[in-house]
Amino acid sequence: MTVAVIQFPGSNCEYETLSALHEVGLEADVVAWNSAISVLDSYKGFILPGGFSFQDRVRAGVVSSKLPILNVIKDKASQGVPILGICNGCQILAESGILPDYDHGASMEMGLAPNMNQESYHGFVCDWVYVKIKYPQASLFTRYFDDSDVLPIQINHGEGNFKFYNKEVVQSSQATQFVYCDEEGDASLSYPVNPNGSDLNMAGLCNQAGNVLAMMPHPERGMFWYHIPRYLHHHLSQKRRDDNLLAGPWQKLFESLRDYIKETY
Amino acid sequence: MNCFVYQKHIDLHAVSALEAIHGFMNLGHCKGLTRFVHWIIDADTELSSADFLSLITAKSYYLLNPNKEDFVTELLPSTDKEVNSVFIDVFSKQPFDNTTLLHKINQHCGVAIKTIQKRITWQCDVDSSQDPKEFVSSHLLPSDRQVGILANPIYESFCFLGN
Repeated sequence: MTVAVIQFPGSNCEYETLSALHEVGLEADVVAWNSAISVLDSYKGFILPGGFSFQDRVRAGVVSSKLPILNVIKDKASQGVPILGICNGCQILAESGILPDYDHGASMEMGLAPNMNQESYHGFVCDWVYVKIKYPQASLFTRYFDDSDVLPIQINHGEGNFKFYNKEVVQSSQATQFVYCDEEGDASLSYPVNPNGSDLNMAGLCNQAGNVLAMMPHPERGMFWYHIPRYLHHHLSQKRRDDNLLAGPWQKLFESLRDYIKETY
Repeated sequence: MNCFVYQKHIDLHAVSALEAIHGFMNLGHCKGLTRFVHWIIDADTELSSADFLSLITAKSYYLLNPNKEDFVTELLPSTDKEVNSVFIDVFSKQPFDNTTLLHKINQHCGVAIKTIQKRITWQCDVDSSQDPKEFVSSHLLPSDRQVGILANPIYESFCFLGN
């Protein structure tokens, strides 16, 4: 097998993620969180899928971040192995301190706080939003995208509010970042374009080497043409309404991962 | 006044946190963990804290669900001589606007709450061979943006309650 989709107690998006990988021709399997290191060592990429690991107890992702498998993930991250954290996987990567790595992992630099709208707790959000990708060429996952792309994507989270220790460092970084924007690509707006109060409209970000990506939205839910809702004011939705949409906008992310693994191993 | 809400039967947050502390962080000196939702209330009332909170909790579920939760107004350390208890209050660095909740309670219960804040309080019972505050500070709480478990170093702050 090539890519391991890690199943934590409470993960619930592992099979959709697996389906996305299979669709682009990647060999992949769902692998338990407590698998032996020798088993994990046989994989060339890792995905931490969405869900509610340990029921989000204490804080989303924090209990999973203490598991021994996260030490393996940290090692793999430093070796350049592709690692993708989606939603709860993003929260686990944040709580483990793997991302961001602006100070090379010396300290924790971001947290995912409860969703906010201005100064009020906003609760769980399930919606379609738009994101743009800054510096897509800097990550192995996003190199097939363009920084002018405005991409519809689904979010489902209660704690997706990116908070940074030093916003200026994040802003000046040239590592890949996903930012919430409107359908015209304007990322300067606050709620509801920014659905959870994230600093800098952040929806996801990559490490400096480009091999570890943590994102709150779900790319596996924008993988196929039928995932894209007809009602959005977006050219892909228009295509779906016209019955000529062939693939979802996020297929390229998984294709990029596939090609990177083929080129590298 | 303080209202510390606890689960009457089992608190799964505390169970998982203790499991992680024992099983994944290998910190056996932490012998017990209890979690309280801590309401800090400023109200115009002549009632005692206990009577005032009983009035609210009898008339509404805003502060707790009496089928599975109860409250105390003061925290008491463990009576077990083998452990020392330490109380950690965890709160968000972001300002929260609780006006909506405040108005709902005032309207529904006929009280005059002026401000209300919500925090999480952890009671950590530490093996008496350890200095409990030092143990908790070193291992369970974030320090200098290092990862802890009971509070997030980026968007949460904490303080110790009591002595």
